Amino acid sequence: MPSSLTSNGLNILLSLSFFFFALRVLYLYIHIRSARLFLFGFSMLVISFTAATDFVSGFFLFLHTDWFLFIGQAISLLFVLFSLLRTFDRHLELLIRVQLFVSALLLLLLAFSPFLPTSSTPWLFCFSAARSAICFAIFFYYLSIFFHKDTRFSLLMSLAFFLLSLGYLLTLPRYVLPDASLMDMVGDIVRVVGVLILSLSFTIS
Amino acid sequence: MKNDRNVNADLVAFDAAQSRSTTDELIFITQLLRSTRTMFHIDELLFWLEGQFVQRLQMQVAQCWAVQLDQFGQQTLNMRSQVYRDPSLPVHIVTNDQVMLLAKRIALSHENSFFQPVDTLFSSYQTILLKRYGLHYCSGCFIQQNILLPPPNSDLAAQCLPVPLRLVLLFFVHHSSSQNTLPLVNAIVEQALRIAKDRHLLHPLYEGPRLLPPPSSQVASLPPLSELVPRRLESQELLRSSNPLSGSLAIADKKARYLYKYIDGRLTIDRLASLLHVSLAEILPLLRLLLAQKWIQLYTSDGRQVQSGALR
Repeated sequence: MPSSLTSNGLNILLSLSFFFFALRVLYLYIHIRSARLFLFGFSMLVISFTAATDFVSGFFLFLHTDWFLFIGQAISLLFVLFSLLRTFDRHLELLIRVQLFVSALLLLLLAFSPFLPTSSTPWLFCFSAARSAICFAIFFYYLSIFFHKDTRFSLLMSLAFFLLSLGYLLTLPRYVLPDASLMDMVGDIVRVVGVLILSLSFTIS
Repeated sequence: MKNDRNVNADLVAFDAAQSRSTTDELIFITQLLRSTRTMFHIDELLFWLEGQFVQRLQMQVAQCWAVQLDQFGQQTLNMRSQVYRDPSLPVHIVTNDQVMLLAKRIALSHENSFFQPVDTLFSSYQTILLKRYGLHYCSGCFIQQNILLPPPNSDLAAQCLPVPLRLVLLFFVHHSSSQNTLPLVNAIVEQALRIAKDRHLLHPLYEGPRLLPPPSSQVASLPPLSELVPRRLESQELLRSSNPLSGSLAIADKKARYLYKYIDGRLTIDRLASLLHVSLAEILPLLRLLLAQKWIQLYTSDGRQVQSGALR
């Protein structure tokens, strides 16, 4: 199976499912005005957008969207983590303002993507590792919630983020080893499963 | 002065029994003595107790049912108050006919205390629902004393008569280890009812239906209802242990949902009513619903939290 097929499949699945759930979460935010919902929903929206642009950039090679993809996803996952850790309204509202500001900068990054240099390997490695680490932190947090209060939602979310973390980790060797396309493909498949479980957690919990 | 003497007597009596009290009981009673100074109705004390049981004893849901007498002399068992640990828990899971039947059974059998898995108490469907939200066990107790329980503090209950105290406390918990807390609960409730009697929240049987209204000085210390400020309560479990898209988080009632959108923590009840072009009588039931479902909390204009009983 060519690695581009799994990569495109992951992008499409990530983009569509995250977009769908982001819309539902943001719609709920309009009704109950929970800051955590906004942070989570907006982060999913950004991740969905990064996946969509990555898919499109496969057809327009002059768009160097790697910067937007890696930085956008890492930052969005970081906001998901912060939204879970913070409790007080004023902290969450401050996070919203920071997220909106950072997202505006990310859009600038996307707008200037044709003029950006091709992302270098060390930076890609760092950003990819950051995504894996943040997903692992989120997995650990949901796991601790599950041990404290065993709900199906926290179990599935912990499993989803564990698989996402593992998937990102499996893509790291391709930046340092000469022939690691197989591992990259496996990483994509693992992330596909992670996204499916994430979708399941929002559907059946 | 008389109250202070009674309080001192409470403290002296409590000191005498201190050797057999646990640390938890000490903490509870100390806080109870402090909190009851600003309470004006027994429902506030019951609500406070349930809140403490949920918070400190790791209970998920605490309910208080009481036998009441309506103006026609009919005895009914009604829920006086309930507290959830997780505000996102759907109301219908623990507020339904099956739970009411259980409370009635306990009231009729005068069962002092029990602790059982929910499988043995409810139908299979109800058990599945309860277990889905982690409510694996149900415990409770029946309390009966020769003192009068005033009617609920609400407009609807204005015509009800005081009745000898018969309460059923029901708790829903996660783990079987919560069984060990039942003796503590019984001890605390006993002390709480004694304190309530000293504070005139409960009345001796001989007073009969001639219950005196609260002293005017106590009534004056609470601001008028229309000047209270509702504030939103953020569910801490949102996106952590509860799925926001499960359908249980949205406010079911359309009018209450509409009202909730305008609550910003600064507008008083009066201002909200005029903003929405409704009367106070129309907005109060919606606020009660939001309060009961833990979407909001009430505060005075200077930021003091008000017990939920103020809205009844």
